[in-house]
Amino acid sequence: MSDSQEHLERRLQGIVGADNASACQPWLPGTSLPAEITQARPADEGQARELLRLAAADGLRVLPCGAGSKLGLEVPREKASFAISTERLSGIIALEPADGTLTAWAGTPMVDLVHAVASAGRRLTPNITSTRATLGGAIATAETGADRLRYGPLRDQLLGMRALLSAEISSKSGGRLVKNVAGYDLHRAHCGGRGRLGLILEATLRLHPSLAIEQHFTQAVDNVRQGLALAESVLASTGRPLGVRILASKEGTSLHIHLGGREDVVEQEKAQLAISCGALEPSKPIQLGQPMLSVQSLRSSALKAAEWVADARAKLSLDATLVLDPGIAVASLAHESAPISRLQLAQLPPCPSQLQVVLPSDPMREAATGVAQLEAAVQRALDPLGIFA
Amino acid sequence: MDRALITELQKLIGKDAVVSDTTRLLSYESDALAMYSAPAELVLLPRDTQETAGCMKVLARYGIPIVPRGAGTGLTGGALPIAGGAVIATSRMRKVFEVNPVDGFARVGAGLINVALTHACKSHNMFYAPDPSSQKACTIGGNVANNSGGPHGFKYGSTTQHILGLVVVTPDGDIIDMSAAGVDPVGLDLVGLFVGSEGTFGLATEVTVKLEPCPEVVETLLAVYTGEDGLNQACDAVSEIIALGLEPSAIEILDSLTIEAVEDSLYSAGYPRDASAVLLLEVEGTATEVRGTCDDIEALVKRFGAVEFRRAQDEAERAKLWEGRKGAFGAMGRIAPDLYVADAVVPRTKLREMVRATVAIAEKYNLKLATVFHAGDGNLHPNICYDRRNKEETARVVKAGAEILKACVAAGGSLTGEHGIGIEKLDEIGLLFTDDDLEAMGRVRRAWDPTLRMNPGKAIPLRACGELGDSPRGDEESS
Repeated sequence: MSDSQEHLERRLQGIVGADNASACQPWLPGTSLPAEITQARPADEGQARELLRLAAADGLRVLPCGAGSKLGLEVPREKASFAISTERLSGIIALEPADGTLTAWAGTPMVDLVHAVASAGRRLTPNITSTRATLGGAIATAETGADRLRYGPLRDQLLGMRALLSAEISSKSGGRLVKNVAGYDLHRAHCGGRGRLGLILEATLRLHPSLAIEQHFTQAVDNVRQGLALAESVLASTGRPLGVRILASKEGTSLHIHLGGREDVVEQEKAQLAISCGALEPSKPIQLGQPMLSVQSLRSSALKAAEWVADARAKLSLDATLVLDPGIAVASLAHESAPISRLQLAQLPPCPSQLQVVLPSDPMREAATGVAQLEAAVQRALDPLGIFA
Repeated sequence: MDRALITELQKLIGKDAVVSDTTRLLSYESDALAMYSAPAELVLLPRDTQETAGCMKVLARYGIPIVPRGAGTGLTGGALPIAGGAVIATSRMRKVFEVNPVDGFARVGAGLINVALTHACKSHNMFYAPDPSSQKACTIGGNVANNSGGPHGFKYGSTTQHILGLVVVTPDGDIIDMSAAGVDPVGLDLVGLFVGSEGTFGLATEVTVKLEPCPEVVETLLAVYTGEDGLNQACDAVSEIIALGLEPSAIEILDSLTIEAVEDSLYSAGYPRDASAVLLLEVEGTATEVRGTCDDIEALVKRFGAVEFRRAQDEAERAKLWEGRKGAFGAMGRIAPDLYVADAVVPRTKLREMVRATVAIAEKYNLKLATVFHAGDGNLHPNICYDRRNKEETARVVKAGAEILKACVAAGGSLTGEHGIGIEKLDEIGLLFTDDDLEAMGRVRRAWDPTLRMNPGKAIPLRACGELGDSPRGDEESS
């Protein structure tokens, strides 16, 4: 650690305490960045404001993060001097099952929220239980859950938010209501904004009714193409499955179907599945970590997306499971081995125009000039001092 | 309006598309918030994105404010040219460019009528979900501007959840094409940010919408409540439906005065005239799912005091029951010449409390109140019937409206669930947002519209946009 880094760390510790500012190693091998970045974990909003005051005074850039579950997959933002983790800004602010809303601090682990909501007789989506992801991190990266096919993307669940734009200014949009159109939906820009617009403090999500039963089924298939054909027939014939996915790894290729709802409805869907797919094996829920790489397409190009991902896996010699979700048109590589590095990114095969590659922390694209200018203007509007990296 | 400007615009889009004579301008001086009007100076009717961009480039050169307008069915004065300038109406941009049933989207002109979109995809067994009561007249572009809702929002959500892409013309006349359908926005979600911005960011000319597959079975149910406590019982039944996690696609309540107006009108739906409230529900899904949910709802509403429960027997009866609900605002013309439609929204557990509050406010100001609500979403429309020619009565309506909004916010609610802020609620927005919140929103507005020419005086108070310096670090910090 350099002298200046040590000095910064001591100053951050002066704000958040000695135990809550330390070097962490989110960066990847093969990057040109320092292996460490100091991460400060404020205990409350006041400390978070102090950290931003320090950054503004010294012209330092800050990388907002949650538990850092995706930073290992990050193509890091070059200019970040330190990270602010919301991990200690944690806890439920308001859980209103009868109103169908949940408000929580950004650092609350999603898994805790999923369980708290379930105990209150409701369901939270994205139903993230297999990673350390926090509410704020899930929002900032627009994380996709295994139940998106039925419930839609995270942005559709996000009802309101409060974020720190600087030491002085917090900005609220939306509210704790399932329906509300007052003011601009700034929270929509934060969702998937990768922390570039501010530090998310708290957010409100919509809750759904809990499901009477949930069941998982699997069937071995010869290859992705066959799995996709079966998946399409399932999607066409079954009411509203929670998930229909094809997994392809060294061990083989299989189709997974996740059903849930009223008992009689699930029974009937099972009977329909038996007609379209033959006998299905009951199975356990799939537990997949954060995808290291996703490819979005339209439904009609889902096979192309899967083929590109398979090609990328082969080129990079990765030992990762290919996951194809044809209903929402996303193919991804599940993170089982080493995360993808910047050097590896350069070796990816060229991406056809109808596909869009997305890293958890970075949509890889070149925007048209007008769009890029508008994005930059919105970013400057919310972060005029350029604090957020 | 400058003669040279008008000539230049006429050259661009044709004489018939530039409206500047006083008589024709009259129809653009207000929208469905009839108590306010502002004379339009100039109305432009471009046929497509290119023509719109051309007009906006010219208007930029002259520094003229621009007021986007769809069908003028907005209920908050959003389309009123209160600061003068040019109204650009999208009414000629009503093409359906593409219906893609495989990938589940359609691309349409912003001026397309909401219901025409659903008709356009019917042959593919798909539909466009947001269904405002004005859907036979309102435009998709207007729905985008206001993030409109509708009865089926209970299941499908508001407009914002159904917009995949937009083509937006900026106030300077640049065309920003964000129309490609995709899984998630790539980069900042500018489309999501634009929806609900009430025409203050730019003018959307083309819209890419998500289409939903038509459900296998749809059932429409009517529960009838009578007696003094009927409306309360209906509210309680709704709270219980939500508490139990039953999932109808729409939950609507109509009160006795609304029922009376509807039954006296051409929208007559067969609601019992002696009812003090009716609960109108729709259930969609597979046959098994619908049967089970309908049975559960029937038992529940009876437990909560319904004296009658009907299931529509055929498509004609279904359509009739909905015709009454969607025609309710029109039917109220029988009670008084004008209607003030409030758009109260509260947490769903506060429905009963809010109904009581609105009744008390109407009594206090001696006004006639008829209430229709999207009960499942906690969104009430207390409708005050009045005559705008009566200045004294109109003043009472305005006061009552403001008081209803205050009561909503005090109950943890909001100023608007689906109609927007417009000019109507600008004074109240401070009840919901702090100066800091509004300043952040103002800065975002300026990012889209640095000279504040887009729909001035709407959505958020201008003072929140005033006195904002540009970024001290300038363009080099745009990474």
